[in-house]
Order: sequence, then C-alpha cells, then structure tokens
Amino acid sequence: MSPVVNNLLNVVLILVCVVFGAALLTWLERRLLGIWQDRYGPNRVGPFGTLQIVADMIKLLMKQDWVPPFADRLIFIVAPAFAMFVVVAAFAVIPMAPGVGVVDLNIGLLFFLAMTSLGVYAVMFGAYASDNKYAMLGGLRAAAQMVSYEVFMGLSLMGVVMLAGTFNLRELVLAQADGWFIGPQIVGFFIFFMAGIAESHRTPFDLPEAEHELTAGFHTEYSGMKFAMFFIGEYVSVLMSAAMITVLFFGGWLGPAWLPPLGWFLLKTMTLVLLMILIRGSLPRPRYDQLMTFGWKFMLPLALINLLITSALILI
Amino acid sequence: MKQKTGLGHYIYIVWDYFYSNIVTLVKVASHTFTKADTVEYPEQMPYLAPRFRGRIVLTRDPTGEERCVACNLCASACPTDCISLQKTEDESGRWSAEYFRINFSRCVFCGMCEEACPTYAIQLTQDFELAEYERQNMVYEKQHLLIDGPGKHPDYSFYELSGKAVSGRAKGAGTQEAEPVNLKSLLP
Amino acid sequence: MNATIDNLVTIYIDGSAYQVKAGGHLLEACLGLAQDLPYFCWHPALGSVGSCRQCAVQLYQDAEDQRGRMVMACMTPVAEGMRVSLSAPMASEFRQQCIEVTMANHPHDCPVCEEGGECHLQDMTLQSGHTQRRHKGHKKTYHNQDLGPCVGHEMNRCISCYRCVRFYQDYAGGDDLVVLGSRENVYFGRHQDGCLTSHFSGNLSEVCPTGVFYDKVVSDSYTRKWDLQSAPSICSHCSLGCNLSVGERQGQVKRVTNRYHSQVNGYFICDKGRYGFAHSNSDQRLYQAQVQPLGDTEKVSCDTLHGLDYVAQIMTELGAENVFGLGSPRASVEENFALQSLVGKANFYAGHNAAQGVIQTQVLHQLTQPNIYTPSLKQIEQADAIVIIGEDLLHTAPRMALSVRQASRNLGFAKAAAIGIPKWQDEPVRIHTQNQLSPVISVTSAATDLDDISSQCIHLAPSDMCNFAGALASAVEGQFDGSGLSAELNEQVQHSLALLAGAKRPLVISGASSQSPELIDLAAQLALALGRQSGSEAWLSYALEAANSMGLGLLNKDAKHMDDLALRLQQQTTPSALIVLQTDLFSLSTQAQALCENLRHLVVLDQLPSATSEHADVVIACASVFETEGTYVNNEGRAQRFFSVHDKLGRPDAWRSLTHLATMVTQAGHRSDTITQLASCTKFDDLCDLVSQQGGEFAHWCDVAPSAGFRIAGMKVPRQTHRASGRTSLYADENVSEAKQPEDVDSALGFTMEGTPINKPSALIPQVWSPGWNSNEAINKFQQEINGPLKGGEAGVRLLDTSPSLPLAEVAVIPSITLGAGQILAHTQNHLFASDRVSSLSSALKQRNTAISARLHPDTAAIMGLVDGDEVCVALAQTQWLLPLTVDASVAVDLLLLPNQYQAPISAGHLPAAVSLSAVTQEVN
Repeated sequence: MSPVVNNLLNVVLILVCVVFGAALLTWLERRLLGIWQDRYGPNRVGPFGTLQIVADMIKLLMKQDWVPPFADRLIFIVAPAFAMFVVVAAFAVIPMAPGVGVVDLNIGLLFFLAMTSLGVYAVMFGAYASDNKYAMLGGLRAAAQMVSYEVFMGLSLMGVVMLAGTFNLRELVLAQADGWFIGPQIVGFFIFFMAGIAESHRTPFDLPEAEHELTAGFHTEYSGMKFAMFFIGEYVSVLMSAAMITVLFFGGWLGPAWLPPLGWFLLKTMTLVLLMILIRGSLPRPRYDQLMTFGWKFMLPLALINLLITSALILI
Repeated sequence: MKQKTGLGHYIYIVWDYFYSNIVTLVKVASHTFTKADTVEYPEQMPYLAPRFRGRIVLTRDPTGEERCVACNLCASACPTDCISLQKTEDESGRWSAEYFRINFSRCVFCGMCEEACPTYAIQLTQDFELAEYERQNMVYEKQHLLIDGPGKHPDYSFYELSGKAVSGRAKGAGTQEAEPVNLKSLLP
Repeated sequence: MNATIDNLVTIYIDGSAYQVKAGGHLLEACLGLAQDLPYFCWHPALGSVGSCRQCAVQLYQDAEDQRGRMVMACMTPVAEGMRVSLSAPMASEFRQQCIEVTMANHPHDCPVCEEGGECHLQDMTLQSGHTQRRHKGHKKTYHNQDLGPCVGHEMNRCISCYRCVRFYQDYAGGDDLVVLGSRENVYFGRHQDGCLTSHFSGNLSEVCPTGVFYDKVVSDSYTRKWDLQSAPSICSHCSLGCNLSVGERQGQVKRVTNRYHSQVNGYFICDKGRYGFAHSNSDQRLYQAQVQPLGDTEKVSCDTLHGLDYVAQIMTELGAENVFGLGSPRASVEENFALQSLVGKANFYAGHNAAQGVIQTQVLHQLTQPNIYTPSLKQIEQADAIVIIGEDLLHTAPRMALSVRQASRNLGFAKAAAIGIPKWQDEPVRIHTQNQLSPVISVTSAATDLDDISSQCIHLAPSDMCNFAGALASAVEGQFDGSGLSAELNEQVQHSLALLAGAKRPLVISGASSQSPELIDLAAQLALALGRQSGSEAWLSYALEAANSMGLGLLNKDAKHMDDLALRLQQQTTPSALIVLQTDLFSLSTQAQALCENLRHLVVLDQLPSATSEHADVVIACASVFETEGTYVNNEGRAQRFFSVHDKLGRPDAWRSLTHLATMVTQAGHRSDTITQLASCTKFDDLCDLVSQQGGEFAHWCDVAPSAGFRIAGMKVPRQTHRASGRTSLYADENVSEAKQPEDVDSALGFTMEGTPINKPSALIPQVWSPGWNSNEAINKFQQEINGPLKGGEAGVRLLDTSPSLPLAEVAVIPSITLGAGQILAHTQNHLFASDRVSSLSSALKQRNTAISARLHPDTAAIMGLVDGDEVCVALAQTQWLLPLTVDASVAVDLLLLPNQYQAPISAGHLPAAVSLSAVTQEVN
C-alpha cells in the first residue's frame, strides 16, 4: 500500500467512523438515560434499538428543508455546516493508535484549541441568521460561555504541555509511557473535562439551548438535516473531548498488550463518554450567572494555581 | 444572620457542591441495576387507575335516552375550547344535542367537562389509544361519542329530578315532586 | 353632618360615607354605588313593592347604635346621615334564609333552562351565599301554558316576585297575563292557553328574574349568553332607533335583546325589534351578484366585484349625468351618502313617494324651528298632557306608545308626590291615584291600543283630523269661533281644550303614516300653541316612516323623491341607468312599472330579493343591518351607530360596494370631486370623515361612536364574552386547523374575546356583564346612577338641537284626492307584525299577524250594502285586491282601512287613494 492510499484510507475511515460513532452515540445516550431513569429508551428498531439512528436519519432527511422567510438565508445554511466542520477538523490531529490518525502536527494541541474556539462562530451564525429572539439569547449565551470557558481550557492543558515539553499529541502520548498525566495533572484533567462539556454545550452547561427557557436556543428555527448537523456536531465534539482527554491524561493508546492500541484508545474514550452521559443524566442546569461565576471565579483561579504549582514542581 | 466569610467557608462550600454532585452521579449510576418502571406497551398494557382520564364518551340514562341535555357547561369549562354543540329539542320537551363535536386533537383530557356536566352525560374513559394518520379524523361527532350504556352513575336520570315534563313523565311524576298545583281548588 | 347640597344626602354604608341623590330609596342608592345587594321584585323601571325580602339591610339609629334593625332597602327612602350595613350578619343571614326558602321549590333544571347562565336568580343565590338545599320535601310543580310563538312558559321555576304582571299589566297595559290562585298556589299565566297579546310580551324574558318566561325564538336555536358573539345595534324596524344587543353564533343571528339607552328605549323594546331578526338568517337572502347582460333573458350569478365591474362599465358607457341613484330610508346614512356621492347630488332621489317627500321636508322644517323641541322617549314619559294625531303608535312606533303609557301616569305621580309618596313606591302611588291618568287625546282613524289610557278618543277621517287639529290649535290660542266644524267635532275640540287647560308640559305626537303633510304642519301649530299656553318650549314628536327617514331627509334636503325621478326619466332622452339601494320600487308607488320601462339599466343593491330586483339587470347582494356598520338618525334626530355582529359571509357592505364602484369609475376616467373622494375611502372611518365634511347637521358625525382606532388598554372591545367556548371545535368538522379570527378594520370592536368587558364607551357595549351579574340586570353596573345615563355617556348625537331652522323645500304639491262615483277613500291600517318585508320573514311574528281584512264603519258599510265577513274587491286603477271585510264601529265614517301588508297588491305607498269597493259575488257551481 502506498502511503497516499494509506493516508486516504486513514482519513476516510476516521471521518466515517467519527460521524457514525457520533450518530450511534445519540442512540447510546438515549438508551443509557433511559436505563438510569428506570425506563427502556429506544429499543425497537434493530437489535437493542441500535438501528434507531437509521430511523432518525431517514426522518431527518425526509423533513422539509425549511428556511424561514425572515432568516439570513446564506448564513442560515452555512452555520450548521460550519459547526460540523470545525469539530471534524479538530479530530484530524487526534492520534488514535500508532499509524492511526489523520495528521501528525507539531502544534497539534494548539490546532485543536484553535478549532474548538471556532465552534462559537457556528452557534453565533445560526443564532444571528435565525432572526429569532430565543435564538438571539441562546447565541449570546453561547458566545459568552464559550469565550469564558476557552480561557481556562487552554490554561488547564499547559500543565500537561510543560510535563511533556511538546505540543505534538503523539509525543504527548508517548511521554506518558511511565505514568499517565492524570496523576500529576488531576486538577488539569478536572478543569479540562468541565471545559470540554461546556464547549460542546451539554448539560449541565447547555444554557445556549436551554429548552425550558429558550425553546431550543440558537437552533430554534432549525429543522431537518440542518438541525441534524448541529445535533451530530454536538456528539462529535463529545467524542472529541473524550478522545482528547484520553490522549492528554490517560495515555492514549498505551496499555497492556492484551488489547491492541486502538482498542485501548477506544475503551478509554468510551468510558469517558459514558461519564459525560452520566453527568447529563444526573446534574441539573445552573443559572446563567452561576455558570459565569463558576467559570471566572473558580475554574480560572484553579487553572492558574494548577499551572503555578506544576511549573514550580518542574523547576524544583 | 451573620454572613460567613473566609477561606475555610469557601472551601466548605466548594466541597459541599462537589460532594453533592458526586453523590448524585453515584446514585444515578446505581440505577443501571434497577428494574424499569415502564412497561413495553403495546405488548403489555400498563395499569390504568380507575380515575384515568382518556377518550370522552357521551352516555345514556337507565332508560336508554341520551343523557346530554346540551346545556353547554362542558364547552364553557373546556380550557382548550375543543367542545362545541348545539341544543335542539324534541316534541316532548327533552333537550339534546343537535350536534356534539369534540376536537380530540386539542383535548388535553383534563376532565373539566366531566366535572362540569350536571347530568353525568360526558365521561372520560380508560381508552387513550386515539392515534390517527389524519388529523381530521381526531374530530369526533356525536355518533362517535355516544355509547349505549350509562357508564359511571348507572342509576342517574336527570329528567327524573328536573321537574320538567318530558315524554312519559308528566309534571309531578318525578322524584321529590309534588302533584301539580290545582288552581281551581278552593281548599286552603 | 353637612346640609344637603344639590339635592344630595350623605349616607353611611358599612361605615363609609357616600353622597347619594335625595328622594331615592336605599337599594337604588346601593346599586348606584356599585354595591352588591340582591333583589328580585324591584325593577328600575317598575319601582319597589318590597315583596321578595331579598334586599334586607341593617339600619342603625345613630353612630352609637350597635344593634340596629332590619329594613328592606327598596322600601326605605334615603335620608341624611343614614347609617346602614349590607354585611351585618343579621341582614346577610336573613337574605340567605329568604333565598333558601325561595329555592326550596325551585326545580333542578338549570341545564335545560334558557335562562341558565344569565339568570338573575342564579346570580342572587350565589351572591347571598346559599349553596345547599336542606329542605327534603317535595317540590311544587305547575302545568305550563302555551303562550304563543314568542314567549315560553315553565311555571315550576317561578319565585313569585310578581315582576311579570307588574310589567305586563301595569307598565305595558296588557290584560291577558294575570296572577291566578292564592296563598302558596299563585300562578302567573293566562286564563287559558293562547298567544300573549301585548306587543311588548318579549320583555317578559328579560323582566322575569328566572326562566318562567323565556324567549321561545331563542330557544329554537339556543345558544348560551356566554357563547354569543354580540355587537351593539340599532333597531331597523321603525324610526325610534331603539338600541339592541344582537347575538350571533356560527354565522346565524341567534337573538336580539334590549340594550339600555337612558334617553331612547330604556329597559324595554317591542316584540318586532326583538323577534324581527330572522331575515338575516333567511334562506331567501341574496348571496351573490347577479348580472343580466343586455339581450339575455336570464341573470347569471357572479362574484360581487364582477357585478360591480359591470355596473362601472354601464356608468362609463352612459356618462355620469345619466346615472341616477335612489336612496332608501331603511339604509344607513353612510350607504345613502355613498350612493349620493357616486351619482351626484343632482341625480340622487329618496326612495319614498311624493307624500313622504313632502312630509320629510315638513318634519325637518318643524323640528328645527327655534321654539320647537322634539323630546326623546324618556322625555316623553315626563309629558303631562299628550295629543296624538293621526298615528296608531303601537303599530308604527311601538316603543313610543309605551312611553306615552308611562306619561299618562304623571297625574298620579304628581298627586302622590303632593302627599309625600315618592314615585318609586309603586303600590301606594297606584292606590292613592286610583287610575287617574294625565290627559291623553288620541285622534286616529280607528280604535288603537292606547284608547284605554286616553281621556278622549276621536276616530276621524284624515281630512277631519286636519280640521280638528287646526281648530284645536286656534282654540288653544283663543281664536276659535267654531265656524266650519260640525257640531260634534266642535264639542270634541271644546272637550280637548278643557283637558289641556292646565298642562305644564304638553306634547303633540303625529307621524308619517297619516301620509298627510298638512297634518304634520298642523301638529306643529298645535304644539306651538300649547307651548305658548303652558309657557314652555313646544314639545313635538313625529313617528316617521322608517329607521333612517330622518337621516335620508338630512342628506336630501331638497326632498327629491321617487315620483320626481319618474317625471325626470320621462323627459330624459338619452339612455339612463338607476342604482336602487335597498328599496322595493313597486311597493312605493304605482309609477314603478313606468319608471322601470324608461330605464336602460336597473341596478339593485339589496339583501333580499324583491319585485324590483326581479326587474333589475344587475343585483348586488349586500350585508344586512347585522352584518355591516352604519348610522341611523331616529325620529328625534339622534344619530346612532350600529355595528356588524358577525363577518359578512361573502356579502359585502353596501357602502363598500359603492366605494369600490367609485374606484372603478375613477379608474375609467370619471373624475368628479365627489366620486374621487368616495373612491379614496377604504375604511368605514374614511366614509364617516367624508360625511362629517358635509358640515351642517353632520359636522359632529365622528362623535356618534368611537372610531376604529379606539382601544382600551391597547385592545379592541371584544364582541365575544371572556368565556366564549368552542373556538377549536366550532368549525372543526370542516377543517381541523382553526382559521384565523376575522379582523374588523371598520370598527373598534374585535371578533375575539380579547379585551376588557367593562369600561366601554356607551356606543360600544355589545352585551352587559359584570362579575357576579350575568343577567341583563348587570346594567346597574354600567349606569352612572339607576335609571341614569351609562357611565360612558349617552351614545349618539342629537343632530337637530344645534341646527339652524331648515326651510321648507319647494316640492310639487300633492294633488288632493277626488272621489269618483262609487269610490271611497282608502287609507292604510298598519300592523306591527305585518307591515314590512324584513319582519315578514320571521315565522314567530308571522304567526302573530292577525288575519287581514279591510275595515269599514257600519254606517258606511250599510250604505254600500256590505256586511261583516263579506269578501270584497278593492280596486285601485288596474290593481284588484280580494279580501274579507270587517265592520268596525271604531273606524271613521266614509273611510276604508286597508291593511299594510308586505306584498299586498295595494301597498301603503299607493295610499291614500280613492278606490272602488264592491262585494265579490260567490259563484255557485
């Protein structure tokens, strides 16, 4: 196999797996939420309801492709595509196993941070283009929330970077051969985990779409496949957060040889995904001001203290 | 009350928050191993309480006559305004509904109509399986609503108590009614 | 304690001080202060009798008195410094116990009671706090009676408040509804089954506090009050302009009830107004425009715009100067004005005959004279002497007859007042006065309903009426020597003179049904003479032909009428067209046929088919009075607005059709000022603005009712009640998705339930409701004081009060009728339930129409060799009418009275005339 074919195969396979994985995640989440809420969840279509996503897909594809007459048509259409694009692009730098991964960048971590920061544009575009007061409020909340949480998201990773001395994600994984960074960087992990949930605006940080107050927030006016792209985009970003945590704190694909490296990677990622779903199933949504207070007054100082202590320890 | 301040208190609050959240997580996660409360309808019918409020019917009195006297109270009690009817009257003076229409696509099964009904005519049943492919089919007319029996309160007959003369029941023949006043009597 | 200022006294109700009018009673005062105090037997128009014991209050001696004593509020005059308590436990418990006793026999039939939901008894029971029937005994029952097609009877519900007989006998002068039986067996009904004869019997359903007397017509297609979409309306059946509240449901007018106006109808309307609404629901209604192109024999239905387009083509083709318009005294001012603007003032004629034309200009001239005042119906009740000349009021202006009946009691009130009995003490006043009545002189051509209260009834032929009126006028002035009058008539004049001698507030009533302009003039002379005698303004009231006769007269001051038009068309050489607005030419004049033949095109705008619409080549369907908005000017010159009750169902407003027509004609190149102005009207308010720009009497046109932009707290006035039901279900059989509620751009009323039910301006009260007061008795929450004006002020504008004296228009003199050999003068006998097309469509009223017959005095009949019950043939020119003859001693000598029947061969418009009368010989086979 020539390297070009190999690379192409890598790209296509990862893209397909990520998207379908995210789609499957919608089923998984609904099933798990069902179980934790003492009900069944979708269990009718296919074995254990796994084909529910096919049914959903058909439904979403068959829906009328509706653009409200008052919407800014171009931006309205671009926004969900952009939302999908940034998270999938961020996936490009994630090393899943030796030889599995789209691209190996020296500044992989920074690329990841850059891409997730762009995600806010999709939300704001969608909100702005909808010309709807709920969407507008959702968009404003999303922008403030993502900008706030971005700050300590980056800071929380700097501890890892200092320990490994690189921005290259593969090298970061390999640097954990002696011990996962979860140990020394437990605080960094905690902060990044929270920020990851906030970045993918999931409960308890789903204020941009808080359906009890804002109908559906920034995607109030969206339906059909355009809605699906926002929706799947959210799950891709869940996967991405989990994969990134695996890479940064849980030693990526490293593990005893009774599982292949990719197997270890997937296992760790899925466990983190389960944790995220459990959080969604358990924790209530805070008030908006509580969210901002939590971000700026607790998480940011915590990230800075973590950074201070880490660098102090390294210097010593 | 004096507001507590200081680092200790701050740490206490943070701990309290995290602790409660973690307890929540554990408790929810423990439900992985509990039995589902829901049942797999339609294979298994769920238990319906005796006062379950489902599809609305119009009942008949013990003699088989329509109980509804078209008084319009159900319609005015209805919070979604989904009941409409028109009164008509037969030769004997009995009021009934010329048409009686419930738009079940609007009905919220709150049972206010049943509560308002002075003749026990309108009753909510256990049937909730009302799905239709056409929304228009959710509009029920009188012939769809009327059942053959009395439903709840099987012995109640409104005209027995109303004092109004209707077919087969002259003035004074009802329950707790005196003989019609004889104007020509000179007795005190 | 302050001394009484401005006739006010201070009373203390539950510790709070209030200023109330002296001379009234406590119940009236409490209700006027928006306090809730239950009552049954008291009625604002009927006074107090104190029999129901419901309005018990605790009265205290002074500020120190803690115990007090119980009095009935309706029987207790207010006095300075009076201290009462409505909430005192003793009084409120007493009220509750009274209701409990009353309810012990009341049947459990509210669900099948027509009054349910607007029942005064329900309201008062709730108000008093009684909830549970503790008495376990049997309930009394009664047999019911068949009281005719209008009023139903369910005696079980009776609470023996006596309001029905007090209204029916004492107020409206009926004699067939009585109270029978004794003790606990009293029964309110007739001696035997049969139709109630009073023309005001419909009011029983409103007067009865519960459902003993209910509205049978409403019951036939029953809708609860809360489900009715209502609008304020004005009665279109006669010239008095009674205020109506019209209720609608699902596109059908369901009922008409009285709408209080302190100066016009008060609390009561006549049965024609109440039951004469069926025309709006009639299946005979015109729905679409019909066009018959020249040369075709059949009319083709099309939509209104196409029809109007065709008319516009006709107008363009013939030229504006050849298009004429015929307005109608039954159409609103706005509709007539739109037609007048369209065809131009010179080409606009009024839809009545020559006699009515002259009467019209006479009426306007007389009523705008500086010394003459035309009283409202309420003011008529204050007159202490009334002369009625030539008008059978019960059949031409029934509500006025009711007012006259009240006025006749003024002598009694004055006598009672002299010994300190206030007017509201109903029974004492009656006992004290013993049927003494104020003088009412009734001069008519036959017996009338008011004869029983008339001090003097004179039955005269029209010409003798004129002689009598003239003689009486000069006699009052002291200038009458008795010359030129028969001895008998002379005696009558002297008798009248004696009766009128002491009158302080005399009133003369005449009207258009006499068809005699001379009589109109003489009535005014008499009024002026009486005014001078009494030293006050001359009071004069005319009953006119139709609802908007006065409005049409003001628009058409040169009094051009249909006979003028016929003459002009005869002289016209170029082809011409005529646009007829809601008029049947054939019932107006014998010249109708000739007129139609001189036309190339006849365009009719009407809601119902008529002989004229049969002849027309274009018929434009238009909305009925319940479906459009407009203004009628009543007989006292009061402009009052009516509003559409429901959306048009595809039948456009006549005024809108005419403005559309103006737009089309403008686009085709015609650009006269009036047409362009009319074309610029898109909303009703625009048209009102145009009318007010006419100036003169119309200057304050925009004050008649609030404009469409009027809002209360940003919301329109709702036509529906706040608990209207069935919104998502009414039309769900047609389409499960609800249609948007129609919008009303033409009025401040909305077709929804959104808005406030209170604080509305008087002209915009669709129906009365107040928390806890669901019946029409809620009106006391809308009045400034009991029997006073509404809180929103008096609706409508009296146009003639400020008007300068209008000159008499120069009109052709009507040729006097000459009797040929064997001919007799025929005159119209009006009957309330028969006289017009619109009410003839009400099946209930049809049943109450008496059998038609020609009427003749026995002497005259004997001369002509006719006997009672003969079938006679009345011939007028080519027209013949076969009908039975009734010989009636009350009819004036040498006068034939022909019934005014819709679609009769000889209609009121053709009379008076000389006719030949002959018996029809029975052909023996």
